[in-house]
This record gives sequence, structure tokens and C-alpha cells, in this order.
Amino acid sequence: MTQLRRSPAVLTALLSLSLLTVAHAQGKEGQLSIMQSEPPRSMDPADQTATFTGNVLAPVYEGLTRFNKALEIEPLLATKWSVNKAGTEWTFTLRSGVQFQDGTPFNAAAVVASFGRQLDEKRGLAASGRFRTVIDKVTAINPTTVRFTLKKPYPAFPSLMSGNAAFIVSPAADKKGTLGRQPVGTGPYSFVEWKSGEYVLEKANPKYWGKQPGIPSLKWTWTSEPSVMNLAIQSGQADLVNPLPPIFTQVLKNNPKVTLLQGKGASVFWLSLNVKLKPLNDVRVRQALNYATDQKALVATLLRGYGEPANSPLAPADFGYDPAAPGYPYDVAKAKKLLSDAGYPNGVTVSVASQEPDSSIVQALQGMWAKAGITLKIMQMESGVWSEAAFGTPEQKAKAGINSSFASWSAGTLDADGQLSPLYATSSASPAGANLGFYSNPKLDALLTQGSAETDTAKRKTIYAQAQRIISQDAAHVLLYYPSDIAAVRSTVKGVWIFPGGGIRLEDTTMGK
Amino acid sequence: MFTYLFRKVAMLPIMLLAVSLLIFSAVRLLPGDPARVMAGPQATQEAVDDMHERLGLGRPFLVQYQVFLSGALRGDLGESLHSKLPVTQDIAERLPYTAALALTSYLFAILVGLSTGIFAAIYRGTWFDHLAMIIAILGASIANFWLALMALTLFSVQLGWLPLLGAESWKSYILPSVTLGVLPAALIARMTRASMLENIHQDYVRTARAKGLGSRAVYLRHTLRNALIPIVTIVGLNFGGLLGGAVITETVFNWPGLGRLLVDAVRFRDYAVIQGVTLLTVIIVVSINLLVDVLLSAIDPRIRFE
Amino acid sequence: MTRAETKPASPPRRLRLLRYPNLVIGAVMTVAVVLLGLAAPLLTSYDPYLQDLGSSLQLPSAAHLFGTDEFGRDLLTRVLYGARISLLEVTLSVSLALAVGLPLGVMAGYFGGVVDQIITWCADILYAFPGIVLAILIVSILGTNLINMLIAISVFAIPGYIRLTRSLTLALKELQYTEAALSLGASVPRIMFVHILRNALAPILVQATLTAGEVILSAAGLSFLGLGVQPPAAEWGAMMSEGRNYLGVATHLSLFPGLAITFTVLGLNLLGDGLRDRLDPRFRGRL
Repeated sequence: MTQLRRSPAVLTALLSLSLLTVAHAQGKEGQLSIMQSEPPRSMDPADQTATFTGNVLAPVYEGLTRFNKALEIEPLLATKWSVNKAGTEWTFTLRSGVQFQDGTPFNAAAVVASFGRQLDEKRGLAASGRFRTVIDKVTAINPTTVRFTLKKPYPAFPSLMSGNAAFIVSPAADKKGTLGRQPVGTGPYSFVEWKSGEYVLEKANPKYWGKQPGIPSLKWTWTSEPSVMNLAIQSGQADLVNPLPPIFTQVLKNNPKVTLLQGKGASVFWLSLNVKLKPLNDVRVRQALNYATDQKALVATLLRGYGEPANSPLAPADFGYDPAAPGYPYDVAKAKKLLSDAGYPNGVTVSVASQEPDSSIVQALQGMWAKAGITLKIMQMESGVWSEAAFGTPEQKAKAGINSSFASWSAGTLDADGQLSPLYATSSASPAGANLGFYSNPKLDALLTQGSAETDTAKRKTIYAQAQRIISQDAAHVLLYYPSDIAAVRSTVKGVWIFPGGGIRLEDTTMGK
Repeated sequence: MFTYLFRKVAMLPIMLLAVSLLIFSAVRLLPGDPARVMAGPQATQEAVDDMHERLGLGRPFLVQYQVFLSGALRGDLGESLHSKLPVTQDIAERLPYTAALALTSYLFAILVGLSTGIFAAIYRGTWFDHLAMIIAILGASIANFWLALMALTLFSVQLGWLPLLGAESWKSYILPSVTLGVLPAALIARMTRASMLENIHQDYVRTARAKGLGSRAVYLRHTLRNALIPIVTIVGLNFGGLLGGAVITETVFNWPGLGRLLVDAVRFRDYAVIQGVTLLTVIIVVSINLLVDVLLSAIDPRIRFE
Repeated sequence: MTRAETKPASPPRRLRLLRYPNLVIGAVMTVAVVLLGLAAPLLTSYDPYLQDLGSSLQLPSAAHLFGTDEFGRDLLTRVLYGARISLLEVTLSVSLALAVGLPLGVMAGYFGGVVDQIITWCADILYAFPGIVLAILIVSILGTNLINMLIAISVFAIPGYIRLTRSLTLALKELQYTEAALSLGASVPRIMFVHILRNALAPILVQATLTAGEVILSAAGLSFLGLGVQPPAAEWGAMMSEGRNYLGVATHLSLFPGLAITFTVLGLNLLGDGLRDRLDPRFRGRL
């Protein structure tokens, strides 16, 4: 039961409805009920790119490697790995005696099949692009050894192997064609049921090769209503809600039955600026927008302090992040001067394509920028429409009058290349990739190519430090903030941690009474 | 009467054909590429193109329509992009929830509306009558999702009496059914009252009274039959509205019904599901309207249709 | 009619109006909404759009009677200005529905035959879609903004007007004065639109008033689903929808816009109901 706030109105209602005062059940014994913000998109890990779908799949599947709590890569289905001098051949030694939940043995052939379908263009799997650009072929050397031959050196390869899309699936289940509905992996939980409008149910896998999980079953539900998450965790109908909208930290902080979890943010929130369309083709105007943005106020109000102002296009959790990268301080006078230097003494009008859940942030920018003489025209769109508008060609964007797009990005690999190449490389210009503003700088392109193939860690860091400065200087984006990942759990639940970007990690979780 | 019904039934297939073409084109006019939505914002253009091919979206419009139509005639509405299930199965999973919700809402509406209407008519002009009619108009003036939100905040969060979401016990039905049933309850109350007042002065009631029957017995025995007419009319006319209301109510209460399926499908640009659900709702609404016509003429043979 | 028994010989006009309390109360409420909307700048010193992030999400207090929203804007001010947008919505939507529905209805009724069948058939098809489903599709296709939302709302109000004017026209066509006008040399369009519409005005007015209420509710519903106005417009449905993200923390954000919607729609419904009683006693008690 939640707290009863006794007010006259409540008491009247209490009398009139006294027949209903039986407290309702708080969920099943031994079951962890997890509520997220969107339904799973597929049960096939290779056919989705959404964090919240990955969370549902993670208990069922395992990859060759994974990130531990210290964000280092640790062995999982592979016990060890090595790379050749050129950085193009990665050899993994596989754990033996492991079985998929359907009884199929896990071996090199299973790994080859699992990646073979990703590399098969005809399958058109949603997450396969990131593998196809890197991997040339996968071969089984013997039943417990597998070799990945890459198209070019890719030092972040183990990170790529640790992501959700690289989970190894049962080759037998893939042949049957049922993976989209029924996941089969090697993980500690096996899949029970997906009622598409309601929930996904998973139960502990008795044949799991590792330590048995501390909780017998998991139930995943979802809601598109942020307030419902708050209501669900307060009432105990959910044991874990993810992601928790920052506004509710205020009330939940003081609720002893609920614990807040905070993860180091891996996403960067930004407005990509269309450099091919007036007035943002002028770097001074783009810089002015950055100076006119009071990042600290945004973090304080919209994120309720759960986040940090963004000083770099990389997130603090990413490899290569430079804490010393110079961001843009809040300086209205400077913004006005830059605008006037650029030939806009009376201010400019800029439009932004945004989605409904981002309504607050773009409205806040609208209010802030007005002080610097910048009029922000909000074009709020439904997600499907937004995708099409944001990923348009320069001509399409000119026609629709889209000066900027609001979005965020987190590199699942926690690597600089996964964050910078898709967003700022010339070859990633929309619609081919997520460089939504068509930003292009040959100097940066050269650095990115060099960085992605550099095997020396220290040298890579220097390359990316340079890259961060160039992007900041050119003001390809208005950088906003790095929100912390916030989730809330009932205080009886212990051992959950949040992987940067909103991933839920349950391997050490237990639940008391 | 029969000619009228016959004509309506005969027109049904042509109408459904027109509706299906309308829906099919509308869905394809929706901005936004399902392949892009499916693949997610982090997918490369290459992956999106492959997805496009896989979903058969590259074929000419008429070919796609023909595939859809010939499938639909065989009861195959295609496969959901999102749940990977045949749309018919998706609908079969969700329909019972919406049907149950519609049933309980109407049950609530009829119980409350009918009794309020009858008593308001019996005690015509008293404070009860006035209050009841004001509440009835109020009931027709409230946005039901707002009511849902406020009720949710009060009963589920502040008081913790009722479950928040989902459809797991009988108690989960209370809030959604009541919020959805308020409008039909209000309409039924008003129509019942009006039809009873009209009948009170009819000859047969006077006769019954003259025979010495107590006034309450007269009201109940002789006027209730007439009260059926407003109920059937309201249930029939309001059914489309109820399904529409369910779209929002199901979203608020996380109710696993057709309404939420539709909203999610529009969001994910799940063409087959949008088509299937919309077509089904149209069929349901049209059949219910037809049924109401038949029922009305059975209850009151005086009712004629043009 | 029971009223015949109690009806005094010839009551003064003032008293006669009081016999229709719904009409009076509804009219007062509707006028109040119009006046509050128009006089908004005089009633409040706050700006509905000026942000003050420092004072965001305050509970109702003496300085802010309805509290503040997430951007620190005074909620009462936004609710008052919201009346203007709602009135605009009502005016545009109802006019659009009338502009399309009336001529079609009159034509169907007057000409009969194939014209009638085609028009009625199209109206039937539109009628078969639950309004909100149709509206979701229309807004999604046209794009999310105020005008497109109003178009969508009008579309599902149109069949109602076609049916109403069609049956009114059918009834009026039989009346003698139509024939008289014809024999006096009046042209067909003149008869249709002047004579018939003039005589059908009362029921149409009633219907329009009741539709007005529905327009506000539908607009709120669409805005709730994110298919309505663009931010930062102070539209009640959109305000309510944004407020729902703060339920349990700042419930006042959706409470007050919701109350404003209820008050306005109640006023319009009472007015429509009263008008119907006044103009056509046969329909008394039906909504």
C-alpha cells in the first residue's frame, strides 16, 4: 500500500468506496517486475537497435564478451581472445560444455552461423549494418576456436562484440525462423512467453552453465506514459522502472521503499545544425546558438540535476572523452555580437524538427534563445515522421525548411569511433548515416579514419582529443547535456546496476521480502 | 423494413471494398518509412534499404493492394512488422480485452443510466431530478481521458485501492470501464427519462392506473419496455465513439486492447496492423449499426426506416 | 405536453426565458468563457509564453493561483489565453463542417435519386470510422499542427450535418411554400439555400452548439495523443497532455486545463440543450 494522504476529500471517497479497501496483491513471489518506456521491437537481437529491447533480451542471450561494472571487457562465451599484428584478425577461444536453451550445443559453428546471418544482405537485419562495415568473414578454426577477419583494423572490436546486437543465437532456432518471436540463447534465463500487448516473461534456466540467477523469474512490461512509471514504482506494481524521468526523482528520493539508481551517462543530447541552409551555413551563427544556450539551467530544471552540461561531442563514458575539451559558456552578449558580425543584427529565425517527448527541451531552448534574438520555430513530429524528416537529403530539408534536428546518440560500444563517425563524418551525411546536418570537414574525416584504425591506445586518445576540438570549433551541433541514466527499484531489490546508455544489468540481482 | 435491411446488407461488400481501399491508401500516405522506423535511428541507410526490400515495400501500389485484398478475403491480413505475428493472431490476442472493456463499460452505463433515468422521471421536478440531469450533462462534457488520469491519481496512487495498469484481476476493470462508461451512462439517463416522461401520459398507462395498479408498478411494468429503445439506440450510435474512446483510455491504463495496438501500430508504421485493426473496427461498427436497426424495429414495430 | 397545464396566460418575456434554466446557465457560462478569453491580458499581468525556469512547477499559491508549469509560466494565465485558442478551434471546425456538410445535405435531400445515394453513401463510409481513428490517420498524413487537427475534427463532424440537413430538406421540400416559391419563379439554388436553410436554421444551430462541445473534447483527445498544436501554444488539450507527465508530482498541471475544458463543454452542452428545448420542444431531454 502506498501512503494514505488524509484529506477531507479523500476520506469522503474512502467512505463511499469502502468495499474496495482490500489491498491488492503486489506482484508474484519470486518475480521481478520491470517496466520500461517502450515495447520490445523484436526477440531477435540482430533485428533491433533499441536499448530497451536489448534489456529484455539480455537475460536470455550472451555474447562472446561483455562489459563489467568497471566498464572493462570481460570473457563470457569466449574465454580468451587475441589479435594479429595488423589488427585485422581476431581469434576467440570459446567456452566448452555450453548449451543453448533449446538443447543445441554452443560451438564455433554456432558463432559462425550467428554472424553469418548478420553479414547476409538478403536477411536485411536491423542491426547488421554495423557488423557489415567492419567484418569481412567469420571462420571456425576448430569447434572451440573462431576467427573474425576484418575489412580494416578495428581496435574497438571487443567492444563491438560486447553489444546486444552481437548476442549469439541458437542456429537451430534461426533455421526454424522463430527467433523474431521466441528468443533462444545461452543466458541464465529462458524465454517463456511474449504477450505482445502486455508482457514478456522469462524464467531461470536450470541448465545455465554459470551461477544460477538469484531471482526465479522476470516479467517485462512497458508504458509510454512517464507518470505511469512513477505510479507503478510507488505502488509496488513494478519492482524496477527504467528509465525514470528526472522529474520524479524529487518525490522518489524521499520514499524509503524506493532506491534510485544512477548510471554514468553515455548519451549526448544535441541539436544537429543544417550547415547547408541559411542562416546556419555561417559558423558564427552556429556558435551564437551555442553561446545562447544556458546548459547549466537546462540540467538543473529539465534533468533536475541528474546530468552534466556537454563540453564535448563525446560522452564521459566513452573511450577518448576529453574532460578538458572547451565547451561553450553561456554568454548572451557574445551570441548577439556573433549574430551581428554574421550580418544578422536583428536576430535570426531557426527551425527545429523534434519529437513529442522532447517537447520540454525544445521549448526551454525557445525561451532561452529569445533573449539572444534567436527565434526558434518548433516543428514537433511523430517519431515516424521525424525519422523521415531528420534523415532527409539537403534538398528535402531545404524544401521543408528544417534548420536543425533534435536528437541524442549513445555509442553502444562506448568508443569514440561509434560516437563520432556516424555523426560527423562526411560519408555519414544524411540519409546514409546520422550526420543530420551534413557537416563536413576533411581534416576531421582524416582524423576519424586514422583513429578508427589506430591500435595504440595513447595515440588514439590524442587523435580523438583533436577531433573533439575541431567539432566544437565548427559548432556542427548545439551541444546540450549528458543526462545520467536513472532507474528506480524497490528497496528490497539489490544488486541491479545501470550500464551507460540505459542498460539494465541483473546478473547479481537478488530480491528480499 | 426488409427492403431497407436487404439494401443495407447488399451494399455491405461494396462499402467494405471502398473502405479497404481508403484505408490501404491512407496507410501508404502516412509520412515516415516503416523500414526506417523498424531499423531504428542507429541503423545505416544500407540496412534500411535491405529492410525495405524485405518488407516488400518496393512493389507498385496496386500490386501491394491486390496482395492485401486477396489475402484479406482468405482471412489473412498479413504479418505485423513489430510482433512478427500474423495480424489476425495479434488481433485475436487483443480483441477480447477491448470487448471485455466495452461490455463492462456498457454494463456500468446501462445500470447507472437506466436507474438514474427512471428515478429522475418518477421524481420529476424534485432536487434528485435536477441533480441527476445536471450530472448527466456534466458526464457528457468531461474528457474521459482526463477523468481517467484524475481517477488514476486518486484511487491508484494516493489511495492504492485499485491496480494501476494491465488487465490482471476484476479490479483492473473498474477504472477503465467507469471512465469509458460515463458518457453512455449520461446519454442513457437522459434518454430514459425523456422517453418515460413521454409515455407516462400515454393512454395505456392511464388505463393501467385506472385499473388500480400502484404507480410504481405502472412505471416499471409499462414504461420499461419503452426505455429499451433509448438504450439500444445509444449503445448502437455510441459504439464507434466507445471504440474511439478506447484508443485513448487503453493508452492511459496500459490496457492490452485493440486501441493501444492501433496507436502503437501508427507509431511504428506497422502497415498491416493499422489496416487490419481499422478494417475490423469499421466492420464491427457497421454490423452493430445494422443490428441496432433490426433490434429497434423488433422492439417497436412503429419504427420505420426511410 | 405537461407544460400546458401550468402555462400561465401570457408571462412576461423575462420569466419565459427562466423556464429554460439550461439555456440561461449555458449562455452565461459560454459568454463567460468568451469574455475571459478576450479579456485575458487585462485579467493577468503574466505573459503566457515568457519562461522563468527558476520558478518552475510551483504549487498553487497567492502569486500563482493555479501554480506554474515546468517552464515557470503562470498556469492561470495560460488557461485564460487557452480560451482564445479553444474558441478559434470551435469557430473554424464548426464552420468548416457546416460549409461542407450543409450544401451536401441540402443537395442530397432536394435532388434525391443518384445524387442522394452517392452523398449518403459517402457519408455512411465516413460514419463507419470511429472518429478518432479517422482523425489519427488524417493528422498523421497531413502533419501535426492546429489547422490539420481542425480539418480532421471537421471531417468526422460532416456526416452528422449531411444527415441532419438532408432529412430537414426532405421534410421542408414537401411543404407548400417551396412549391409556391417555385411557381413564383425562384431558381432552384435560391430555394435550396435560402428557403430551406432559413427554415432549418433552428435545428442546425442546436446541432452546431452541441458539435462545438465535441470539437473541444476531440481537440483535447488529439492533442493528448500528440497530434494537436505545436508547442508552446497555450492550448488546453496540449497543456493537459504535457501535464500528464507530472501526475503525482504536479497534478495541477493537468487538473486546471481539464477543469477549463469541462466548464466550457458543459456550458456549450447546456446552451445547446436549452436552445433545443426553446426552439423545438419535441426533442426535450435528448442530447
